[in-house]
Amino acid sequence: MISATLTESRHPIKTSLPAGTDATPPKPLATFLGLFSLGLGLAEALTPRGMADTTGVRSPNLLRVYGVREIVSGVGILASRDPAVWLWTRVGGDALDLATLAGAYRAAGDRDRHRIMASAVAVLGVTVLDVLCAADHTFDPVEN
Amino acid sequence: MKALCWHGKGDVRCESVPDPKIEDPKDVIIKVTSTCICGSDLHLYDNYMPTMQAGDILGHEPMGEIVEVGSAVTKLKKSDRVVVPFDIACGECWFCQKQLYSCCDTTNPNAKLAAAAMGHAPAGLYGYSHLTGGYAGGQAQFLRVVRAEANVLKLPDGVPDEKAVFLSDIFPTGYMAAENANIQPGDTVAVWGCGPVGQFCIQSAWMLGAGRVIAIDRVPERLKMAEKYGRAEVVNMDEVNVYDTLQEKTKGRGPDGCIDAVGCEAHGTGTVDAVLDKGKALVGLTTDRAHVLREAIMCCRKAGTVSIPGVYVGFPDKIPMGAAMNKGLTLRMGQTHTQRYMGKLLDRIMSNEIDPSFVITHRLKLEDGPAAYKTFRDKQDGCIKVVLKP
Repeated sequence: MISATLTESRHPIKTSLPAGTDATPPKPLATFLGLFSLGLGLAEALTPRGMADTTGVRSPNLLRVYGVREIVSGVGILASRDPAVWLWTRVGGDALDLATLAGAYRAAGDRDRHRIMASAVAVLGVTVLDVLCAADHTFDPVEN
Repeated sequence: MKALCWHGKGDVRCESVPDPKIEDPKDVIIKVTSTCICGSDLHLYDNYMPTMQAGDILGHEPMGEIVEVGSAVTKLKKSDRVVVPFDIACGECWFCQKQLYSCCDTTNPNAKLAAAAMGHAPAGLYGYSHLTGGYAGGQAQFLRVVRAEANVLKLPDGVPDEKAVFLSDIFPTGYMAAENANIQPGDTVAVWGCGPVGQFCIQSAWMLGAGRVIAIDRVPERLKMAEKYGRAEVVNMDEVNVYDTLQEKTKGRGPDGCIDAVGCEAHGTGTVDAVLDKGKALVGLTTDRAHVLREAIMCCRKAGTVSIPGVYVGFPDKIPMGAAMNKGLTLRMGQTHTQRYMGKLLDRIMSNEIDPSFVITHRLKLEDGPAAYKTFRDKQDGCIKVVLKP
């Protein structure tokens, strides 16, 4: 009979966890931003013309590329146990989105300019959340 | 009293809650002296198991000393030391009479909900969601033990907690999994997952006459434990192709018995199906990541047996039933009928045939529980099995 008997030399049993081990609850904002990124990315990648109508940015191919970028960020945030890096990629993406909207504004007509302004306000709002969440995870990292 | 309470994904807290009371004449209350964190608790921690509610007390591997007995309890008394099985049996229904205790027909008060999800309701379980009854769990200072005489194992003097506490779940679970693998003398048995249940699958496979045991995992300290205490041939799934390795080791025939001691959160590093599972789970398109089950079915020899002690919770995708059917495999699974095995495994412990405490890596206070969950889930600090001392 082969089994773990009393005669085995045993490993030591630890009676405390390493200093700094904590169990801070997860931060749901990162999960929300990950799902938001995934949803927006799928919309941009699968229906770029519809998104062009919504945002006023008349470049469906560019929107499709941005959609793939959003999907990658979203999966990264949701799948990672330390999503800080992925959250910063969202902040970078926000900057790119704002630059794209600024460029489109200059070339747009009046109707599209309203849409672009509304899109810019929405992106700025999400950017604030992205920066706060990325900073929070960078300086106080916890399990997502 | 203090207890470990679930509050959401990755959120377990040590809180003050009301002490349990006798609610039925067949109940007893125990002062918990040892209680463990089980791998299946991680499915709750990671929020894979539906119907958890904020504040639910976790834990289903407890033992302790009786401090109060109900009026209908005659065979147990205060100060008796008992191990509490994780599944709750009535001892009287059709299933209990056939020793199919985890299928008990009467102890799940939320039977309608469970039957809607599964077709029929399994037994009530301690600390394992409202689908299995919503019973308060044993990661606490005190526990109300339901239908005590039909369930608990009274310990003789001289058996230390840490040799006995695993009779509550993981030792019987490993043993039943090995029994389910239909091991014949000399058989080759492959065990996926070298966590605590996997370690007891390995031990039990030898007890049941296996000729070779092959253990598969990706965590070095778990493989080392399987090799050192289990005398298993080990396969690191991060370093080699598991299918190719098993076929090579068995001259192309495949293992006679394959045991999936991983369940619904399989990693399957880098494999296409595992990556797809993870993506689907993230967006709610699957409930279980079943890479190991798929691999076990594909690796098992023709007309062999796949045994599944790993917990699955819902609707895993892309199970190769075509392979299982055409290879003539037998699939056996289920929550453990713990009460069937506790006595005879205690005999093996008392005869020094096995000392189950070899799996313990951490002995901690109940207050350390929240951090211990995280450490165990993330496989940090060499953590394989945590025993908590409330």
